[in-house]
Amino acid sequence: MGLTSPALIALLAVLSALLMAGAVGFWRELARPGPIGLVMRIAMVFVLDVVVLGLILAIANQSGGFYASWSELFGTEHVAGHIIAVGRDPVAARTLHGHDGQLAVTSRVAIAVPGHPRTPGGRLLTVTMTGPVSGITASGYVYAPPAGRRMTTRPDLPAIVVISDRLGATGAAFSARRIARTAAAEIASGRLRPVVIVMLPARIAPGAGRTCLDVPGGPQAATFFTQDLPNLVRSGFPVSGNSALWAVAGDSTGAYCALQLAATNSAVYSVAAAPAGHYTPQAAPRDVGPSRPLRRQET
Amino acid sequence: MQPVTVLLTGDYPAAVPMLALAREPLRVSVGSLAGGELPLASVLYEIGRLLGTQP
Repeated sequence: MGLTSPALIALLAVLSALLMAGAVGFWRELARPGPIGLVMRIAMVFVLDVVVLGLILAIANQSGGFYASWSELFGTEHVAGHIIAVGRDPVAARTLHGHDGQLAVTSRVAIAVPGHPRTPGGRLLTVTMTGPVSGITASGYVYAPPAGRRMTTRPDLPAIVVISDRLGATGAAFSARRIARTAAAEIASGRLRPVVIVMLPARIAPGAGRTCLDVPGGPQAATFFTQDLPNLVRSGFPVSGNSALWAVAGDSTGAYCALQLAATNSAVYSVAAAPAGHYTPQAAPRDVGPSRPLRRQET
Repeated sequence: MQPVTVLLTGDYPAAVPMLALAREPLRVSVGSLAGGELPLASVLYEIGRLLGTQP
């Protein structure tokens, strides 16, 4: 059950109601004197508090999009997922190992064109990428367009990298599923050529902060976005190697990432979009402390 | 090195300082978010247009 799943909130809500009803129904048993009654009261209050607090936090997380998955919450995203996407499909990711890094597809969901539920609009893949240069392992999503008659294995598709911390937030404009549905609608309507969209959080590694910069002595986020990511995506999808066909976009601090990545690496990204952005540097990661090289990068 | 195009949409007043910094070969354009169920549709369209990949 996903951290942002409505089923989790429903489960916690039902549990809260049952525990509340149980506390009221067994009030006399709980109120009896002696150590057993005391232990029962403490246990009931503790369990009820935990469940209600969990419910509140789950609702807040779904609304705010703070954590997209359990692994992100507990910081275990470096664990590689089960690789299931190895195939001959032109847009299916293949896996790379060893010094080339790794791109692993852990799940895939078919996307229908909005308003046309029977029309295939591509697929939304959940991926884990390990960059050979930066050493960073990041989890995210890839939208692969439908394999139409114009789709070939020739690597000429444009690529858009979307950086947002709300990819897993249901209903957010920058949720991965909504972006995939938007791309499917635009492609189906002929307004957009088939495009591969890579979606990643702004904070791709613990201690990396949300500004997509290389932290001196720490995570090399800029290196990941400008060196590892393009190579990994080109290895797994028929995406053009021409940087004129690469764009980067984001919201909030992801938009700041997009602007600074494109401005400092125009040989990698030729277009940056900041639909809802921060245009000033954010605070450096707390565990890094004052860092002149990092400040220079930010400004 | 190639020109970079920056598309700013949404909170326009906050983007003004960025616009003022733009110098050739940096190109900046301003768009708007679409309403409705797919607010990023116009942004994806604009990105596709700037990449020169319209069908």
